[in-house]
Amino acid sequence: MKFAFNYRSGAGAFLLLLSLYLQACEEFEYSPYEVRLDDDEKNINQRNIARIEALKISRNDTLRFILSADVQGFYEENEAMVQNINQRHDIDFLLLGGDLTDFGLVQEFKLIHEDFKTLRMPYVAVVGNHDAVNNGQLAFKAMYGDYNTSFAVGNSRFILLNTNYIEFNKQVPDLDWLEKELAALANYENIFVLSHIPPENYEFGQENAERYSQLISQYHVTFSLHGHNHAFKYNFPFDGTVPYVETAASKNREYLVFTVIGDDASFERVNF
Amino acid sequence: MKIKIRLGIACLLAVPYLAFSQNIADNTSTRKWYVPDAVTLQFAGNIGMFSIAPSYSFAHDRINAELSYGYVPKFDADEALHLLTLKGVYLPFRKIPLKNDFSLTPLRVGLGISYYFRSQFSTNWSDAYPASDYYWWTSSLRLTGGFGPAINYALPNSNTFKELSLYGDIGTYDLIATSAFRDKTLTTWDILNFGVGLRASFK
Repeated sequence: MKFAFNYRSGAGAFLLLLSLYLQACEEFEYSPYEVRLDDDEKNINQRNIARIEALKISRNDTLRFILSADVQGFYEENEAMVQNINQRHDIDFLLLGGDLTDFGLVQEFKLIHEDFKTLRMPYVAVVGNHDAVNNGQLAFKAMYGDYNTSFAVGNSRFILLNTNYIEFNKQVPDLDWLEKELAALANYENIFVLSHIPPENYEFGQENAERYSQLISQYHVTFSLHGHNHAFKYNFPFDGTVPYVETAASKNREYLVFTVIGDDASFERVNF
Repeated sequence: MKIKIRLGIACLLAVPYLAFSQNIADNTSTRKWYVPDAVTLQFAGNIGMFSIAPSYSFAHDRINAELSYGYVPKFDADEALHLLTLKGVYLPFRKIPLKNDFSLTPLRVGLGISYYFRSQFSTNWSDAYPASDYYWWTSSLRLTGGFGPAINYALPNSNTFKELSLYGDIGTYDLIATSAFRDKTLTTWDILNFGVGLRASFK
């Protein structure tokens, strides 16, 4: 009798275990640093830029986009932000200014994408310093694509620049690339350069800050956009001709809405 | 670095064979200290897609110590991963005998530390950072832990093996556990994952 009971409980435990495993085939994880993606988790920037271009926004249309950054680990606030943004119908796309993750883990990137892919509008992300640690550089590249990229909407041009100087062994920002991009943009009335670490931060690389600011001023960039410091900041540093804007972290329950009409670009702070 | 990895793998793979030759001649009591008591193969569970380890028994098989080599194919990354994991497994309860030669180990609790070979994973952060605690963790080292039951099958007629254990493992790792600690909306399922393994103990 005792024997039969043990047999049954053993078989029961085994079946329970088996069913648990079958339920959770997706849950077999090989390493925190693995990069194993579903199709909808690859080339997100490229696919979303194609969606933005498909909006066929003309040079005379009003363009409205959101800037958020430093969403790492703030899943609760991110969900609230996505919900809040989805109630609006006037936003064309969202820019994510880096630090999608704390540790550059694919699992974190996936959780972020799970939230942000539910936005009504496409989103495009630039790499942050936290996204570039551990195995994050490979993970970001596999999920979002090139670290430096650019696209055009209406009469505006957006340049996404990797400024994570220390994480990329002091080989970035690639200011030659930036200059080439800027030099090719004579036809655009508005130019937005988005990068995670602002040039006033030590981690931007002090030898880069001066040339960056010179390029930004020389090519009359409309806004130099950043994240990283988890606080809103709006100022005219260096030669005082170009506004530099840092957006708060999603933890601060704030994002910025930029409106572009003709050659006039302005922004407002929105709390959610 | 490549030589280091290959040497490490070769050593690990050689250990079970040392054990074979040893075991055919002797039995457990005369086994040399460095000869493993078992070999463990694992699929998934944070220590590689596949991992292989010599396993040592202590305290009447209440405690196992394993040093595993793990491999993760590159999948969507540019490079594959190689790692070594030092793992301790604690078996707090006795085996429950089942029908025939089967028995059930109700619980195995494991804790491991993995070392990743590759320059991207540093043991010391760059001294270029403005503060020494700019990042609080160590990139090349990861802590993993898990628990689960095992089904054992005794092999009384085998000359080499004493027992095969098929175990399941529900586990997590340090970094994602801290994420869940800080954000309430992350569920248990977001941070837990699974592994299965086979441990073959030698006569």
